[in-house]
Amino acid sequence: MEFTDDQIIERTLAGETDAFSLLVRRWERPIYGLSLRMLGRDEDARDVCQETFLAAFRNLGKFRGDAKFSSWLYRIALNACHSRLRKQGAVAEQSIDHEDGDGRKFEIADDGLEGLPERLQRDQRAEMVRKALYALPAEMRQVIIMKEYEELTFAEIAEILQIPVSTVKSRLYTGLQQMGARLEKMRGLL
Amino acid sequence: MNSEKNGNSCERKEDLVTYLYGEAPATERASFESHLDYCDACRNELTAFGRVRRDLGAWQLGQVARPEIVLRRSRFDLLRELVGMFPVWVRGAAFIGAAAAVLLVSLSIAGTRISLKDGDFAVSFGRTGNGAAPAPAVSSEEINRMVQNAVAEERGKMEGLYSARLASFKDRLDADHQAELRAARAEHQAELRAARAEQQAQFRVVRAALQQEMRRFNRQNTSAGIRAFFSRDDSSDSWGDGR
Repeated sequence: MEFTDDQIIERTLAGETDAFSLLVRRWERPIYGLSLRMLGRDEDARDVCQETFLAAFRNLGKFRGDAKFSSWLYRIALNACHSRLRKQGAVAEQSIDHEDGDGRKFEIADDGLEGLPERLQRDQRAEMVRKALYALPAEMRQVIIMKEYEELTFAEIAEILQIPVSTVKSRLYTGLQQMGARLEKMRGLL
Repeated sequence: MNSEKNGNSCERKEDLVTYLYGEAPATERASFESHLDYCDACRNELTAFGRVRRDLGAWQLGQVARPEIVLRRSRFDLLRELVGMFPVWVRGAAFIGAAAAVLLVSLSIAGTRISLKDGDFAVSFGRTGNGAAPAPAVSSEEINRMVQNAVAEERGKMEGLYSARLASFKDRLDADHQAELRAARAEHQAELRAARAEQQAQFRVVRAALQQEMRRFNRQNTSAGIRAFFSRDDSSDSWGDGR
């Protein structure tokens, strides 16, 4: 039997603290994906993931059931990402052009059966997307990430960001326009 | 016709985005599709956004090792949990004991005198008005001693109880931590093994393809009367094995 998020929260708040690990298992990958695409570095994304779940665990008693747990969690993660971005200041684009501190390349999907030329081409495209996305202002980037990769609805994104749905749509529209322009420019340089 | 070279001046930008992501209800969708029949700007924008979305789809996360989440608890959390382990009556008794001790100390500080003479019980605070103190049944020093004894006794009991609980709690935490570490290590090793196996499989596929290509090339050359370009027969493994 699969427990709902709310049931797990109830169990955790009733003293069964280990139950919280079920929530971690369920949500760690989406939160990691969001953080990775927001920050551009694996190490930072893992830190944000850790911070997010720790903050959620400590503040679970304050969680009001009027919003979805996932929305609350996404909000905590985005706040952590923004706080990290602010600390980093205006991050130069070059900071994500290289391997991270552990020498790990940025994670890109690896489909075993794909031919090498196709894979190279796709990796190149992914790299281009990553750079174009990272060059966007954070408020547009987060909307694109939540819509495209997390596949959230406009209403869910609006709830997470606590902004009107129309604002979500206009940010997405502008973000896609800017992404398109940047990608075209990059293709021209190839 | 509504088109611009740079950007879209059409008012239906939000509708366009809603339509693009398939969130428009049937009526709105139909309405927007009719709009697309005559609005070049929206049609072009829709095509361009479709291209951007395909590009965005190229960046998918691969097999990423699970981020290890460790829920470190603050000292306050641990203390709260520790206190929570005691039954309510123990916590109640401790509270009453502490309150009684505080009351006795306060009475002592206020110079309270308690007398019991000829069956009459009397309590007085501070000095008496005429300076003649009533015969003290229990002196201030005795009260202090009683209070100290009571506090020491209570403290001893609670310390013993808490030490035992703390020791067992620490053991449990250590055991939990070790178990978590072992599980994380095992999981990590399994992921590494899986990744390595997958990589080997890929190499085998690539090697087989290349060998097949070599054979085909050699066959072509042989049939055309040209000496085999690849001198090694595919039976001699020039790639080494073990990959």
